[in-house]
Amino acid sequence: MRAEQYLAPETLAQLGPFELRAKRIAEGVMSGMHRSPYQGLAVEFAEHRQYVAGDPVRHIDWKVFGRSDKLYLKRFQQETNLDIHVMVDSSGSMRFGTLGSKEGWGGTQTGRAARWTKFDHATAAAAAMAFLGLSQRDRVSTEMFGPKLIAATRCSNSQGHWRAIVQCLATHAVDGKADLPRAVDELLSRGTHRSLVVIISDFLMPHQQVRDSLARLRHRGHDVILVRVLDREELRFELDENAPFEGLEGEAMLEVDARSVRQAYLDVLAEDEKALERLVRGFGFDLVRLDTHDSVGPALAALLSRRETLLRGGGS
Amino acid sequence: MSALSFASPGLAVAAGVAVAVPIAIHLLLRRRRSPVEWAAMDLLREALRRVDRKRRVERWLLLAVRCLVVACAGFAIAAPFIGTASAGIRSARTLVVVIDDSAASNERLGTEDGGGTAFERSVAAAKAAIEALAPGDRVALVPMSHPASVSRDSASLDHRGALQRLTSMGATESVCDIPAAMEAASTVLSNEESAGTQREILLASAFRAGSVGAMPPLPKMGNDGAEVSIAATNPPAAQGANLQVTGVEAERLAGTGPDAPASLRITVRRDRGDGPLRTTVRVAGPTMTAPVERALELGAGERERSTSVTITERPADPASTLRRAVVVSISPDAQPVDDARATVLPPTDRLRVAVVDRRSFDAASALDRLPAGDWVARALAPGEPATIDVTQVDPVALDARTAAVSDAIVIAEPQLLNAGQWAMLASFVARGGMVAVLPAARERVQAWTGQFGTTFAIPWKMGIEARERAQPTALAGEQPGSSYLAALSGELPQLAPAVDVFRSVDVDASVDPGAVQLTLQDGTAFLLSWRPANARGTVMLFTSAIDLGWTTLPLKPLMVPLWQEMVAEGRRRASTAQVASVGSQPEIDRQGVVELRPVSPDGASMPGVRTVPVGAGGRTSMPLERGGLLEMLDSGGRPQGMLAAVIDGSVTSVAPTDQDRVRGWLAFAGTFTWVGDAGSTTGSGESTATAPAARSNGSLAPALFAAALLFAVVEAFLARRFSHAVKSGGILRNQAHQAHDVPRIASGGSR
Repeated sequence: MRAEQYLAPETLAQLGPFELRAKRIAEGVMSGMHRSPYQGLAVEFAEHRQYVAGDPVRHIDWKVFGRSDKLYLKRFQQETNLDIHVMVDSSGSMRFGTLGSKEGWGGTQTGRAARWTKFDHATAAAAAMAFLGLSQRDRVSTEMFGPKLIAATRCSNSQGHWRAIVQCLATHAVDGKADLPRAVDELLSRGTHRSLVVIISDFLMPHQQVRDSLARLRHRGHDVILVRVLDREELRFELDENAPFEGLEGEAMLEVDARSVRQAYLDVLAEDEKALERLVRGFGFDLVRLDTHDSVGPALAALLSRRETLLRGGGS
Repeated sequence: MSALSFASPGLAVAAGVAVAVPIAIHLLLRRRRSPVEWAAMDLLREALRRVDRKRRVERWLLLAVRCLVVACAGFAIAAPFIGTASAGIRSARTLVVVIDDSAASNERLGTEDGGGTAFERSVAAAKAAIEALAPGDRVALVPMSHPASVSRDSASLDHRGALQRLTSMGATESVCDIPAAMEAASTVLSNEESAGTQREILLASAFRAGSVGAMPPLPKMGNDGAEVSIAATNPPAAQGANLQVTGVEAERLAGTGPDAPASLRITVRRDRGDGPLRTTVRVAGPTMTAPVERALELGAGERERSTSVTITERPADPASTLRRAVVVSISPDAQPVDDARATVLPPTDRLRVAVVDRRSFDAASALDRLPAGDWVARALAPGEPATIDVTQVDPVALDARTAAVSDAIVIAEPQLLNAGQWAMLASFVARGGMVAVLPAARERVQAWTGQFGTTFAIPWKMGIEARERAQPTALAGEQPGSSYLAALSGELPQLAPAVDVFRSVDVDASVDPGAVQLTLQDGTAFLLSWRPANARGTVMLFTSAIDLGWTTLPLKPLMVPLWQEMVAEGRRRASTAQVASVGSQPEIDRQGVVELRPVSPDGASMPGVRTVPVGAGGRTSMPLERGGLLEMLDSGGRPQGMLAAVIDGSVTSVAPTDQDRVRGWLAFAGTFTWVGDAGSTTGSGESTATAPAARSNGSLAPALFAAALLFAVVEAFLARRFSHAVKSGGILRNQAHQAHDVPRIASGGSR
């Protein structure tokens, strides 16, 4: 798959004005534009704090002591590079899609299947995030997960890493039942620094799994963006058939009169959305939902804009 | 106590069965379809769990409403009603009204019977019976007039239609055919096989002699052994006398010429009433100068009287010759149908006779050598002015053109005719001509007899050799009463014995004794007649040649009147063949006739009376409906002759029939009862099987139809409601902030 299939010009144009910033302090190994949790080693002054016993004396601002005869410590804020881990759900439910061809997507047609699936949309979003990170000199890795973490790239910002990312996104089967906690455990077991984790999935899984996963990431100090990708048909359920429904992850077949169950489905979906939203909000993370029939760019741009606004102290 | 009943229980059962239709549709709609791949199965399962109970209730509710729609509509069609619970109320009835519309039903009744006709009385009784039927009862109408016909193949629920058909019916002048009508009624009842159905026949008739006649007992009605109730209307009182014109014949008087006034012999018979009767006989006809009237009296107890009436006709011309007919009527009485009778008069133009004989050059040189043809010609035209045109034709010259211009052909040398000529003669007889055949005078062996017998299908046995008699045998003074020589009946005892016969051909006509017109004293036949089947003409056979070597007839006074009366009667009989009975479909033998137009006694057209079409085969395409005169018309509307439609006196007789006789006649057909006027039962303690009580207190059909309509509306509303056809916008449209291309974002609280 060619890179432009993931990075349509209009997507890049929509993402260009924004800087991808971690909402929380990220631990980086390179100097960058993200705030570092390690103060005092960097070049940018942050604040003064009154000296208490035990503080290292080398951080005392002697000029202030000379003027006011009081001991204050100088605190600095170090800007570091950001590690971005983009996790893409490749479980069977991501095979679902109802869009025949993706218009406004660089002139490209659908990818692996005859339809533009949620997985296609997820990989497109992942590529955009990765490219944005790389363009900021942040280190980026991609992880594909299903029942487990089935593929991953190393976390790097080196030249040529983009090719590895694209290869990772393009060459793996979309099947099985997603196990997000296990994938997160495997990611964390690699000993990553505190970083930004972007999880792109339909999150059609028990919310307890999401809760467990986010709790572990939160415990390890990572910032998390959840990108929920749903097909428009899943959002609107405009089927008229009275037919059996067959799951993509081996679920039992259901006899459904689509018209009669539609409203109940939409209600359940809305409740699921709210529940997931509450869950994510509770951890202080971000959640964005993408519709496979829409472009990736506007949604991500809106997300990043909102995050930047929050970092600058506006909004809630 | 009221009970729910159905006018048509079968339809009610069908309505119940029809409820299965929506159930079947409901089950069929549950058939499996191709599965749909879906990712959010957990959400769908949860949604399904939520709606499952509600959806199940909806489905059952919709199914119930649909079943109610079908059931209500079906029950409404089955015409339920609430009526009094009495015997017989539960079973539907099938009533076959056998109504007398025959000629006898035209009888005018007395004032105590309403003053109308017997037919109107029968119609009133039939209407009363039909109006008393409950909504679900079935009715059929069967007229008694011949040919019997059922207005429908099976009984109908349409009582109003039956009443309308009764109203549109009228009394006919046809023969009453009660056996055929009862057989038709039995067929209708046999088709009503519903168990428990009461099967009834109402015989609506005055039961006059003309309708009932000499009826043998009827067989049992119905084919399945179930009892059939038969009710008959009480015969009305026989008031007023009835006379019938039973005969009108044109008299043939010996010696009268074609221009002489015609004489009619009119016979009037008493049908009902014993006292002295006086009536006026009126004769009218298209060619008469004026109608003729004559008073006629019948003494007390006198059954029949005849009278002769001489009529004067306008000067003959070819057109009027074809319209010679009369209608004889008498004063109106109780039965108007038999107060008139029509007949066709024989033509009055000169008779044309062809005598076929070998020409003799020495004819008239001596009487003993005069050939037979000459004798016959002299007898037919004895002097001037001749009333008969005689043409002598050589046997080899006899052809169809000769036949076309002849009323009679005399064959004096039959042995000289070939097969084609014999065939032509057969056709001539079929069209109404007379052929008289004489043995060949100069031949001992009569070889032609075989061809003669074959050509005319003669049933007699004929010898082929002339028998010489040892002694001359005279004609018998006591003749068998020839109808052809009726005009000579008074003179024959004197004239016949003077004729001696020396030689003759033996003919054995024992198989057809009526064929012999004149006999010899030894009993052997001298003159025989024969009318072939489907022929209007006659074949006459002399067993002796008209030759002095065979008989002295040519020299005797009998010779001239014998031949003249014979040929004149032959033509008259051909013309009287144009008389047909009402109800029959006569065969019209005139070429080119396409229709028969009823005309009045004076020959005028009768507007509004429909003509009778004549088919390609010459037979009328429908039975004659009325008595009277009918003019034969060709395709150009030109008259071709007249046809008299007559009604037999026995058909129109209004002589009363004893009730016991009617009862005995119907005893084996079913349970019998009399009913009075308007369907009410009369009689001594007999059942009231045909006097239905008002059984229906109210029909539920309108209410059920309304309910069906209401349920249909409810079904339409529920179906739309439950089908969720009105869609909401889905989660994307429900959330206002999620316009197109604006993603939904949730962000954490503190930054």
